Amino acid sequence: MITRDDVYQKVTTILVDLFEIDPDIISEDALLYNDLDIDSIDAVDLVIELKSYTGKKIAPDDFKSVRTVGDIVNAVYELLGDCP
Amino acid sequence: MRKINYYWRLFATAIAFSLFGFGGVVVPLLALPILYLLPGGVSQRQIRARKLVHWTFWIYIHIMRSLGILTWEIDRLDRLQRSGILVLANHPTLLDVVFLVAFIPNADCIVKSRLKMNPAMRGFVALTGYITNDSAETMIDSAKHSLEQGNALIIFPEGTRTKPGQELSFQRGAANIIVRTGFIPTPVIINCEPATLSKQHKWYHIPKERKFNLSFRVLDDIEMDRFMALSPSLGARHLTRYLEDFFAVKININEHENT
Repeated sequence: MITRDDVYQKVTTILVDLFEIDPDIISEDALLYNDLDIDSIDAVDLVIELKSYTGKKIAPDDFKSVRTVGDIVNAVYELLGDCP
Repeated sequence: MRKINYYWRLFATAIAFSLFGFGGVVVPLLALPILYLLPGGVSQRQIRARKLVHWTFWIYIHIMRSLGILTWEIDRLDRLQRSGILVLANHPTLLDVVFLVAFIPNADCIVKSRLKMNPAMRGFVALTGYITNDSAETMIDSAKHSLEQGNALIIFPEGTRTKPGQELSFQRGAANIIVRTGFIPTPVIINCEPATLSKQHKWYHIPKERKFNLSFRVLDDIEMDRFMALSPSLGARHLTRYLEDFFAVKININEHENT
């Protein structure tokens, strides 16, 4: 069973690997655009990476309201929870 | 005598600004029906419109020089007039894009989307199909398409004019285009001496002593292999930092040569 904390760890790892973001500034409330300097092109790469992690199709709508790291974790956790 | 020269240049600058505003409205208006009547599709029309803007700006910079407002110098112009190149330039003045387009017959540009609201520029932007920077994803696709057509694509990685006295700061868009299209960038270092028409100058803040000189130095293409070896998102980040340092150093050299 994957816990929400597992997902958070995984998202952090992806952010560090993909964008070389300093792990110390990553937190639940960190704003992707303002705090972590992730732009809309990066977001596409991030979604691709999350797709391969979840093994699920991700609809762009799932990430429309994403603003913070916590939002990503919630969206991914929900996607994973959908599976039986 | 010096005083007379100053007031003449001030007057001539006012004329030049008015002329640009006037031409920016009238030239596209006159060209529009002709461009639409000529045979050929959208891309044919845009190619013709770009040629038109190229010659319009070419005439305009020569008018400014005849008026005694400015002089310019450029070395290795032939390197800018190749097809399928990304022209990366720093952005000290309002005239940078006017000069680069005047130098390059097949120039395409990435411009601020706000220029579509500017009465003196909107006509040119609409007719030429210059790429606007409103959406990052479409910007990369449009840039790729333009380069594949053989255009020389002008990008100002700063995204806006340099803020004098501040550290050079590049947006990631230019680097993203480079690492995601694989086209090679050709850097151009622009220097304006004495400084004028920057973000902090109003149009009437002209140099006190003499007309200003714009110099354009075309440097060797930048080697991309080590950035292309990384994933695109990392490559773009590393390349952005590299370009910031590269331009900062080259601009500095320029300034020292001039003093």
